[in-house]
Amino acid sequence: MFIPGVIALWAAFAALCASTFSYVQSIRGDEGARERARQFYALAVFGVVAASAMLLYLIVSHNFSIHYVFSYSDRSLPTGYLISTFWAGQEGSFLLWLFWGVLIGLALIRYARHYEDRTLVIYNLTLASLLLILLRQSPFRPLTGLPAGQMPFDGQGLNPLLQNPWMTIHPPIMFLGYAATAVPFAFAVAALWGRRYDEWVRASLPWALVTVVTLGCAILLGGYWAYVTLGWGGYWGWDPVENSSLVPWLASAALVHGMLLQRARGRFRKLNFSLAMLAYMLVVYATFLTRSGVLADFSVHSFVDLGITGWLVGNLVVFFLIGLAALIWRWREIPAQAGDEPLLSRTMFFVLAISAILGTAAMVLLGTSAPLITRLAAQPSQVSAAFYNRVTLPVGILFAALLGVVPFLHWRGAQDVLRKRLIASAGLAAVSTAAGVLAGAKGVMYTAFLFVALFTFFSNLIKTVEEVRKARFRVAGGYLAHVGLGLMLTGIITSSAYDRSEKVVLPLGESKQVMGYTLTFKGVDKPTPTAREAMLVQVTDPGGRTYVARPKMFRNEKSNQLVANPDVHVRLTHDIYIAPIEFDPGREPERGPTLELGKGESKVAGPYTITFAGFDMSGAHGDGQSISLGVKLEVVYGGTKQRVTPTLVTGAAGFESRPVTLPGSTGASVSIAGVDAGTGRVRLTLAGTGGEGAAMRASLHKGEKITYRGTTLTFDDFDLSDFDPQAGKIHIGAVFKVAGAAGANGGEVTALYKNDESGEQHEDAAVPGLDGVKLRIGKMNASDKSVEILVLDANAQPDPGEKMRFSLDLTVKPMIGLLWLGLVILLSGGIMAVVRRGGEFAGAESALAAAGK
Amino acid sequence: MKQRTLWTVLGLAVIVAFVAFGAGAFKSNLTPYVSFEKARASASAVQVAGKLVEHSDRFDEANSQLVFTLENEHGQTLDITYKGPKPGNFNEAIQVVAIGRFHDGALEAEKLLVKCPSKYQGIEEKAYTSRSS
Repeated sequence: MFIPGVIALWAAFAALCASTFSYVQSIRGDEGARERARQFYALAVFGVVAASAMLLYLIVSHNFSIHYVFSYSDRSLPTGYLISTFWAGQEGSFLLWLFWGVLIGLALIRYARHYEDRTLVIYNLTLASLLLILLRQSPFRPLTGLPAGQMPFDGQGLNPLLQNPWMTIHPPIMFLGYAATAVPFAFAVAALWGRRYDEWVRASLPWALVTVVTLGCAILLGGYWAYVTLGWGGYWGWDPVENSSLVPWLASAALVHGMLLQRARGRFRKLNFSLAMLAYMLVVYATFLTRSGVLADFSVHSFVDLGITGWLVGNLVVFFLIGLAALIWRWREIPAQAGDEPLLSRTMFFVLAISAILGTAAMVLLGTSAPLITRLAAQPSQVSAAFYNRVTLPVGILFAALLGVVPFLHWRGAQDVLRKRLIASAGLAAVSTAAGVLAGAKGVMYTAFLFVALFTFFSNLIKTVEEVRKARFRVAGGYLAHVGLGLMLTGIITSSAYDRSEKVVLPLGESKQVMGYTLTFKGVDKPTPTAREAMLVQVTDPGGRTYVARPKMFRNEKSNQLVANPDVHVRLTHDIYIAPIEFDPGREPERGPTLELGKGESKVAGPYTITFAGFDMSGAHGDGQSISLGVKLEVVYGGTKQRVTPTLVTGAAGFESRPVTLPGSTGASVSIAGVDAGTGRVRLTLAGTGGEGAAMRASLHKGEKITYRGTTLTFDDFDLSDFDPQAGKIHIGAVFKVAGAAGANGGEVTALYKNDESGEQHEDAAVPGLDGVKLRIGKMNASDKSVEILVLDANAQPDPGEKMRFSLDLTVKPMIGLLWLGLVILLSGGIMAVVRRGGEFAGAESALAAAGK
Repeated sequence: MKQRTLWTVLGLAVIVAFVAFGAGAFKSNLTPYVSFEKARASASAVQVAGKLVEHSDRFDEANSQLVFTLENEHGQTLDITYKGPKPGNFNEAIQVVAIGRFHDGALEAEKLLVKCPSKYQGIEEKAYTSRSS
């Protein structure tokens, strides 16, 4: 146990309890208690910040005696990724959440004014629940099973899939959003408690917007990360962990719109109390789903149960009861406005939109909880992605249609320009959809969705331009956000409903045509020994433009995990997405004969006559990194003479023999097998030359046979007559019976393997009746008395080996850029809204303060 | 109050219709965990779990798919095909979960979940979804 860290967490917990207690005293009328509560709170902040700093220090200083540090980091990580291991695991991410939580609390104390006492009591409870989890499952616990005083030299390292810039900033943004949802919850309970049913909306609206922006941003980063690194071609897989950030996001978006409604119309108070509680409950529930291990059989990245399931369930129950009790307690007192709202008004459209958002959230929640729900009735089951696509599509169409009309509505009725604007916007959307249909859009539902998405886009764009023209930049944020939403929905439809994809297998150097694209596999690129292997694929698009794609496929050495990253080529109208599926390294050409040559000596091997002309010592002094020795050869093939120099090179991994290609068949090469410095003789290996290459290869037990060109060869027995290991003679013979095509007995032949003071040697046996065919012994297995037989045939076709092959999936995703662009615009609009609402609140604060004076 | 009644009725109708629609979609897209025999007999998508039979995995280039065999605790086997990249740690997996439909002698998996033994932390998970084209 790292004691200072544990002390800091306990101190924070104690201070938080003291702060809560003091706030309760303050509510009871103790004048000085509030100041005391604030001081205790500051102490709690200090404790949490100190604990975070300590964990970071342990990580950066590579203290592998701490379980958390050992499990998620190692010495090879660059600083950025090293810091990101802080939130790579369960405990660190809870600490990060708590870190944001205590900082947000500081702002809360500063701005909550008359809500402060009650809000902070509730808010402190939410923080304490996180602290309890951290005290139960401490990030500071030691690595067990080690002798005292010892520390592993290196840690297990960070999952290679997480070593991505987007993924390192995804969790901090995400947990900021999670932490911010506690604010509207605390305000809502405090408002019910203190019977102030309206002002809390003004104070918590900026925080609800912060949640919408940060969770939205986290979802964007997560989706983009999945798209560019995972290689299954999508950005969203309806995985429980993804859903558990989507559902709170939707609930927060509903809350923001409910709060806008209450501020404009002075009603819907009960709705907002319920929504504020719902948003926080969903965050707690999502935490339970993904952190408790209940979905371990159903999710990509669900954490396993670390023994905190009980605590998570406890949190869920406690906060649900607190919220419910507060609501029931005051329900009849909450003022309700009577009177109807006209149908064609912003008010009604907001209500409908909130219902649509909540309906979508409910369906996603239902799907995500399927394993829990079905467990009650029968064996646990999950729902496929098809469920989510099916239920969200119709609601999405309705929702987008609402969003296209609402910019031209007043809270209490239609604007005069409604008809004119709708015609313009719907017209533009219809023209764009028609263009889409011409470009290949099909399917009634999809086309309808495309139309309403574009309708939303154009309506809100028109409204944004209007507002900007009137120089009302401050109110443009909301419309701008919906411009982004329209673009995003358009991008989702075009890229998922209208994408085309095909799988293809590419042998090295060959070109293939797929969907109008010409793909050529150029080989594997690994510039340095530690670099990750990239597959080089040259792509020529239908328009004739060419680029080289570099999808990656490599094995992570630490975890021995196969990692495949796609290559994404971004064009204006579409992305070209190349995902690796399988890489086959191929097979070297079959080894041919081995030649042993002295200086000046010549030998004939198949169609080649090879003469050893001398050594090439020019590389013997090395270039500072390696030393090379060359063997100068004269090769005569088909009457022409050629000089080649295969080399032996010393490198980091020992000697490496570098072959040179030979004329004639593809893949033919010669390389150095060995050099005898004493006698000045060299041994050369030919490959892919045909000639004496093995035409057939088989492993035979006694009595088993093979047939080659009509002749049957039966393995009779080993011949150990000259086998004398004590004298240093390991001579083994294998006797084969030969029977010709006519069945006539061709007699017996013996192939020999010799290993003695003169080295390793094969004495091949010529096969009677077959011209130029010899038998050679390969591997022998003494235990099951089998021998590998190689049939060497001077007339056999050369074996070029097998080329390496790369299988990939090519996908063309039309207009996917709109999705990312739309999300960025949506978030920008959201940030404008945060600034506006935060400013409004601060403005009201200073007005109140001025009035107070 | 007339308008309000109308709204309430309409709203309730829409909610009921939506819930019915959602429940229908939910039921028809459930993939239960089943035995190998049931998986063979089932026409809908199911989920099976088993141990990878050693060296049974190969890449079928003609169909661009991964082919392998799972074995359950009773020693029964089931062939699985999967159109997608082989998941990392696949060969070290202690259990493989395949979700898909049985067709032509093999379960055509849409999704694989691979459970790997981890020396220091219970079980770690990775899932891979093939393109649902």
